[in-house]
Amino acid sequence: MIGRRDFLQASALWLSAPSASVSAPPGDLSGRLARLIFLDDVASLAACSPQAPSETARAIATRREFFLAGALLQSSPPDDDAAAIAIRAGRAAVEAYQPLEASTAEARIRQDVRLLRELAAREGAALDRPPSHQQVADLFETLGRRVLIAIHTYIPDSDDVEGWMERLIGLHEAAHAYWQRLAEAYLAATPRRDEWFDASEPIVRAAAALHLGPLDSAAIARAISAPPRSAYARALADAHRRLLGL
Amino acid sequence: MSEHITHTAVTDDALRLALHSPDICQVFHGALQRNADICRYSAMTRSGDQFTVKLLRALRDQWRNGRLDSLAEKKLAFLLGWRCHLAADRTFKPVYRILDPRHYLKGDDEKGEASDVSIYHDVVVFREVYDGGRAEPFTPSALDFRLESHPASRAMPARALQRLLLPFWQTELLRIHSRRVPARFQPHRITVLRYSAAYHTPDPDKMRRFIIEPNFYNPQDPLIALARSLQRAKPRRDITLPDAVAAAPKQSQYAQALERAYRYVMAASDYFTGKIDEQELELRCDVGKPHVPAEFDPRRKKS
Repeated sequence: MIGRRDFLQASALWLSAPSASVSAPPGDLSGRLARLIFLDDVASLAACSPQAPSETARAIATRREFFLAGALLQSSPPDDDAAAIAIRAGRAAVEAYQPLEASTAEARIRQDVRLLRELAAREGAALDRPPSHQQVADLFETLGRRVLIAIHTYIPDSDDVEGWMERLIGLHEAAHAYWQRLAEAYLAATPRRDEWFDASEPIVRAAAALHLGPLDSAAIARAISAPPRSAYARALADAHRRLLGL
Repeated sequence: MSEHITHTAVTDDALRLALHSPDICQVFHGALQRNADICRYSAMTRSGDQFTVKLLRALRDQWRNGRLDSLAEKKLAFLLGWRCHLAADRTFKPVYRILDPRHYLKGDDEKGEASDVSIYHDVVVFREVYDGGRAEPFTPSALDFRLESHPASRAMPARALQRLLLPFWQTELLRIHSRRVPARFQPHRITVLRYSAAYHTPDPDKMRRFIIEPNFYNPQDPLIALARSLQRAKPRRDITLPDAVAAAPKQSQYAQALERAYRYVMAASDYFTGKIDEQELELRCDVGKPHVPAEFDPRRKKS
């Protein structure tokens, strides 16, 4: 279970403001998937929200990769207003997530797994005949290999190519370690409703449903305005509120 | 664009040949034996001509002044994979433009969708070199439509993870840049579903035009046959590496790419051990030579 202290001891692990500093090799990736799952839920809500400005909703829907992965960008792609909005919206959503993020790697892995198990429940995945730890880790590796196909080639850092090479090697090592830890924790977890996450809350249910199909506007509005109880639902509502003011 | 699986395979095979060869220096052997996984992903790095020689020089100087530590060995493996990328590019980029020129009307750095030629190359390599995903570093489910055959997919949120792993890598790859500007953001270039369709339900006409008629891959070519035998840890004693390398330029396109990659690694080894100087290294590695001859590049053709 994610304790109150974990999520109250929020740390600034995420660079919400773009930084020009050269990165150190990434040593620990714990919490990255949980944050992305949150952003993905925000995107599904915001893209269909009757309250979100249509320009913002459209930008999040059409330039989703900039919303989900562009928060660290120091500038927007030229002549692409939708991407610029999606990047700003992504930063706002990341800020809303910060209070949720646990301060220790161990607790962040628990958050990753809590939300992964929620996604599994949404898809009807079954753990009655659980796969091995290695098979779960391999699924992440296989998906990573498909990503390499999708992005085609690495873009090197021409300002610091040797440092970039070292950081890329470090990133791959960190990713292997992350998948192993996630696999182990995923199979060991016994998720239950708690103060950090409650899948039965209206705003969480609406976000989950909107990944799969439409909901009527009134139902979305009711879900967004329902008083949130868990930290996750509060952050979703906060992110949505921030997007209204962009 | 030549593609991920073909780049990986050309690198994998060239490095197998390098490990088999007594002409490649021992420091390379050590680095490759311990870091095959690094070569496999560095083989998908662009702009190699711009950086690899300078970086190789630094490692050579470090080696001459002592020994290569673990990180330096990893960097050496990275550089060798990176050079092999260029061997695949120089072989296949002209081929794409000959077989499917409509995708390359804007020149060498096309922004549009990848041609089916490159995707058919990749799925054939997946079947031939990686035994349908049963050989490392792939898995048999890698080209599934929805990872449905993966043994963990029933217990995992495979659909959501497919959606999330792309932004995961995009974020982390951006994070390791010193300047996080849009030009460094890794775009989504190719949908993997095109691979799934080409692999599971290949179009016979595309197979004929892109693979069979141009002689893309021939398992009987000695260089390919030797590489496959090394992969299975049963080296063919009846094939000598120098003869197979000499024959390859007139054989299948894949054999040509493999010969070029092996030649680049050999040149790097000769440079490392002082047999050749930097100028000779650049010459033998085709540094600065356009990937696509002028007659297949509309921009240069016009001028």
